[in-house]
Amino acid sequence: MPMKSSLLYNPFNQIAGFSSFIPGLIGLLVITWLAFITGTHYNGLSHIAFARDSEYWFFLTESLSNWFFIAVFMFLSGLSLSKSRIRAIDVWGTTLLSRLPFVITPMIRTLPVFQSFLIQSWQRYFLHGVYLASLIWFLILLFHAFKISCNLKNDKLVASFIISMVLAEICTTIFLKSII
Amino acid sequence: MKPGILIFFAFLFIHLNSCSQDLKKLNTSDVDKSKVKIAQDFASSFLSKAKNGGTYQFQNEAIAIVKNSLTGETQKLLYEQLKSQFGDFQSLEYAESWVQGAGQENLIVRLKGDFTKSNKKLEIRVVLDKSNKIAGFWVKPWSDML
Amino acid sequence: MNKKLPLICPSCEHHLQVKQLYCENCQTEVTGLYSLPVIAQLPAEDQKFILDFVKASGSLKNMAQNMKLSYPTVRNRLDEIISKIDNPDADEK
Repeated sequence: MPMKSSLLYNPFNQIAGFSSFIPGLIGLLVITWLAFITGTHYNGLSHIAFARDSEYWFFLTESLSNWFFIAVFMFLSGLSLSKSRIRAIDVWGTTLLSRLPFVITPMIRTLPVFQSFLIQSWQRYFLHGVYLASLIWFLILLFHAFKISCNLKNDKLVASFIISMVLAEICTTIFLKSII
Repeated sequence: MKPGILIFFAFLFIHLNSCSQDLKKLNTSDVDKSKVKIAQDFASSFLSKAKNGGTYQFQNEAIAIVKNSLTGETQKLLYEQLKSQFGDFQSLEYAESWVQGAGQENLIVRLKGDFTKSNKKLEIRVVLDKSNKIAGFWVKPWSDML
Repeated sequence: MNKKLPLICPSCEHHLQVKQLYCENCQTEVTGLYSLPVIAQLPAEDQKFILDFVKASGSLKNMAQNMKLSYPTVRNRLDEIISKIDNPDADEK
């Protein structure tokens, strides 16, 4: 029986493959463009910085690497652990679409009051709060994306999800530091 | 319970804002361009001289503490460290200004600098006191948070 | 009225087997002990899924379009059914 669907936290019963890849890619480009104009850096899966200090290509590299490493490790987990014949396009598309919640923080930063502020300020705490909420939402989406696109269950699902996240975070951080 | 939570957040909000009363960002229209020019010229001159192997000779444009701290030796050492991490200084541009102090005594001029090895801009921060003397100078990675 | 074919014993929850078959035409009764076909042992929704799969000529892509579900969701469902067919006893509990 398919899991309970919800557009908010599990749209992947209805959307996968190219239907998720194309909107996911458009979403990634929108997030990148907003991140560039507002100086919002996603330095890895769980880190955010506010600095209008780089060219567009740098923000694009951040966005792509944040997605790419997690997609690769999840795909490899699926290939090695799943009994099903999984498709790369399902893993890539659903992981890409999962990143949509990250559009919220840079959108808020387009407001003048959030463009430049003090470290000890309500703006900073508010933005970090919004980012945390987006991160939680993203993780829920990503978990469902992984579960459905790789058809993993129970302990295998949880363990491989955590390991993929950790490995992706390490690779993303190392890669992004190397291009600064 | 609900009024208690509301009071807590109101207190937190007031507290956080009161922490920032000391520093205030200036609107573009309120910025004194002549002061920005002082800061920009100093930073540009300082870094250009260091890049060419020389040292910046202070006259009366800085306060005593700054002049005594940024000796020729120190300037060379600082630039070497900068160069090893970020490459040679290329250019800088004005970003924004903040004022500090109850009577707005200090002007903090934030400039964005380009260096050869870094794909990110650095912040070159110059602080001017009430008499437009240089009272502080930093080079650090740029952040939108002060 | 659509009657559901019982599959599991209400007393001990073991798989039921066929003991008697009846011909409506000539009133012949056949008594023996026969296992239900594997497919008949599956829940009704799984049987419907298999029928739909055959009608879609074995194309998961077409099935996904018809059911308005994603391809991996349909594939996962098929894999679950395959697993039930391969391990019918795992379902008893």
